[in-house]
Amino acid sequence: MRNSTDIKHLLDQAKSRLGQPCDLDLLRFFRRHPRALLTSEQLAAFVAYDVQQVGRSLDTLIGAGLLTQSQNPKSGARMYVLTSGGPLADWLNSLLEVAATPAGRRALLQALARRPWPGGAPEAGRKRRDSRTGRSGRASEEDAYG
Amino acid sequence: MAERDFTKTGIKGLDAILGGGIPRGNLTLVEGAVGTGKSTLGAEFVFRGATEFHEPGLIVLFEVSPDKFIRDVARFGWDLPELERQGRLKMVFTTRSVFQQELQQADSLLLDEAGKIGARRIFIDSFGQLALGNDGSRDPRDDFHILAEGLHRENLTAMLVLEVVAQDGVRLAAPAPEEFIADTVMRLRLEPLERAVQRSIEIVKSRGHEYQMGRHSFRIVDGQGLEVYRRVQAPRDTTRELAASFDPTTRISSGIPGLDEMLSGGYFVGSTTLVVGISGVGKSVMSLHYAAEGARLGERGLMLTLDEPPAQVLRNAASIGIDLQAAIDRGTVQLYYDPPQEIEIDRHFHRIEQIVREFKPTRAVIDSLSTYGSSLGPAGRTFRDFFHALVALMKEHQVTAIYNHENPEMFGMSSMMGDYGVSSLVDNIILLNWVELGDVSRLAVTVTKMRGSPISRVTRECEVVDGVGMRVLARTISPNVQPTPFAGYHGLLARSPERRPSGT
Repeated sequence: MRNSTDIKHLLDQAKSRLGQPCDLDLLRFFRRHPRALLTSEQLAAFVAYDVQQVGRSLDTLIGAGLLTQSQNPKSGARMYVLTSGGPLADWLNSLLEVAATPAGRRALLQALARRPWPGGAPEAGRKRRDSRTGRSGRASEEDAYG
Repeated sequence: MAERDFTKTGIKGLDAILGGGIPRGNLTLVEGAVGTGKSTLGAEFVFRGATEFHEPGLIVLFEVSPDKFIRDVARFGWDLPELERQGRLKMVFTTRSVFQQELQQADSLLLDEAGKIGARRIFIDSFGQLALGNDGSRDPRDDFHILAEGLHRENLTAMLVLEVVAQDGVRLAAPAPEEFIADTVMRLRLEPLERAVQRSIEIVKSRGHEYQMGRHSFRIVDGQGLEVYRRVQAPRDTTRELAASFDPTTRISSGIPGLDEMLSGGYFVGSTTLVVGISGVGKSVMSLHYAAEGARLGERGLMLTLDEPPAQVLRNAASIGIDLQAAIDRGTVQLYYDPPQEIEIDRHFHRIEQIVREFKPTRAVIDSLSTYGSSLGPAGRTFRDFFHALVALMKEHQVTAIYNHENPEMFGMSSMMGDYGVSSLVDNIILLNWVELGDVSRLAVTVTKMRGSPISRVTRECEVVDGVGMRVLARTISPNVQPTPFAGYHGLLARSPERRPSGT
């Protein structure tokens, strides 16, 4: 695992890209599901955040150029595609490599939580979080299929 | 049906069973219990399409996350992310309910993704029975019909996984309505084989073409994918039957001094010979001579051994003065050893067929039939059908084949093949057995059957000498020769030899 300096460096680079723990968990989800066709409710259930928080985080990720989203106006589902190339690819790979381990993810979440962010409290929107593990009490996608 | 009307799966052995492939546009259901290989089959269908047939594909996953799917198929050497980068594949993670809605919309995002890469194939993993995203308000059969129509509209040849509940290879649930609507249904099973299991695939139905029915076995091979082996009993191409006779004009030597004389000059090319005798009587020695003689003449020989591993065969050959390794190195002899434990007969036969087609032997030795018998069991038709297929294969390729068979009787022989009654399928039968004379067991050889050739059925003595091998002794009775030759006795095969009175 990388040390705290690495994590700080990664987060510094992410300054304008990530703000909320949900942002990171969404990125982790999309790393494993790089092209996902889901409704907002389904996506929120998979990452175990509420729909409003997921909506805000999606806006952040799309705004940062990390994700694209398309929607059929007649359907509630959206196609989310994780950006695989471009200038952010190396940074994203490094970030998700760190976040791939439980300890790395926890460290990143804690670092995100400590950072001042204009978007609001980092934990807002998370459902029944376990304070020790950082995992949600809800059945997450990871629990269901891992 | 023209070849262009088929979608070839590209899966080794499967297209042959399907009679060329799946009719283009068919909706194929791949059903089976957990662990039967459904996802691997579907992934290979799309992978081969993209890499071998210029048919991009879409993989739709409901339960397995794409990263795990990618990881799991990487063991076969399939680099799905690279195919995605090349625009030949797209993987979409979704839910059943969204998928169902998407297929009911003309401007579906999912089908738009398929259209972007010109997808011709789609693999959907997976449905539980009647578990399409149905809220209970609709008939599940209608749902599936709508799905089928949606895929058809997009001109996609689709493969869908359907999970079924099964125990010990026996399905526990009633047929799914999806089976009635799908055009092609493939059923995968894990079948108990004593204490092991064997994978099998059955084409239950397939509209629009002929296919090979029955359960064919398959393996999932690292670095390759699926390898399907046609069931041994499946009817062969009619050309094989037309060629299924020996050539009654050409003979080849047994390689054993004195034996060709008993065989009226040797074995007919393409004939089938059974050598029967108790363990240690010299059947394998006879086979080694046969292969070595072929090698000496520059004829290719296949030695198929189940009883002894290659090192032991080579050592045995060396003990009678045959340098089999040199013949192997020269490429005139090929030694194929398959351990008989839990033998998968379809795969085994497939391998033999492959060798016969590629190596093109003119001689073959199978050592031994009794080991096949004990592996496959005398009950049922498996052994007989296998032997029948093997004989037909050898005859089709005009391979002169010798099959060793161990008979448990030490002296005499009350039954040629015991429970394995296949002697009617062979052209020639040679008996090797011991004859007890005084306090010595001496080796006897008798040619009891030879189709298309007159034989005397004389029993002759033979011997196996270290460093020299086997030879059949002269029949001539000479007053100077001791001990008394067999011609001086009667009742040799009846286990009660008696000296002939002098002068008879």
